[in-house]
Amino acid sequence: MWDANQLLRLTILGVVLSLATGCAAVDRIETAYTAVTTATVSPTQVKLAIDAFDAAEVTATDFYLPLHPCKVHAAPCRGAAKPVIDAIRAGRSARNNLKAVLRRSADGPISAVDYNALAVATGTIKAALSAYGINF
Amino acid sequence: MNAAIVAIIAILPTLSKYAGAVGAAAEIVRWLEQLVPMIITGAKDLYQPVKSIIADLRGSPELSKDDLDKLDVYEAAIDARFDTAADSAQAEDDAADQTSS
Repeated sequence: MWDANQLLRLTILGVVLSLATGCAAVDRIETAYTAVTTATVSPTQVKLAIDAFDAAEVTATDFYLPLHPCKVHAAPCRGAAKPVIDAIRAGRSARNNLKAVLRRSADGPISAVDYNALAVATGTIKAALSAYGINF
Repeated sequence: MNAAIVAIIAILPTLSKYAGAVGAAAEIVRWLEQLVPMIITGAKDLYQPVKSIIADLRGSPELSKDDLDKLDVYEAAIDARFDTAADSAQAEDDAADQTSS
């Protein structure tokens, strides 16, 4: 079972991200979880996607991977680690590519290819963790 | 229950009234800023993304080189922690697979 400190961290993250994703005034953050159909995205969209991905990586590290596999343990437990690990490593690569682009041109439009790779990775992580009761 | 969790749960109903409201982003920023002291004491590694989300909601200027340098340092740390947790989880899954086969 999670201890009080872990619950605090999960609660804070849940509050922050559910507010951010649930509020119409800031609904652009929701796009951080889903691919876009446009050819380019703004640096602001990229920054939000990076923040959302980093929060997903911290959540997976602290709340998902430390659980024991459900295959041999009772709840609270987790599914296979590999899909989440693969999604995070793919997302990291896209995140680092995007940061390299931001370093080159901080205010111009950015190709949606790496943005979509990052958004899809975050969405995959979010779905995988949600299946085991970890929502962010 | 941890006092900070009680405090956060207590403010949740208040926060929900801002969803969709005009000026909601400013109100959310104000509430998030109130959470920052608790984040620093109870969930330090979440400070960076929360701080960044606050900046996003405020419509802060784009990332400077200095911001990107700081982000690199932060992400190197969370990547390293993730790799350790991933190796451990994968080893546990491999052992579980052998047990059940």
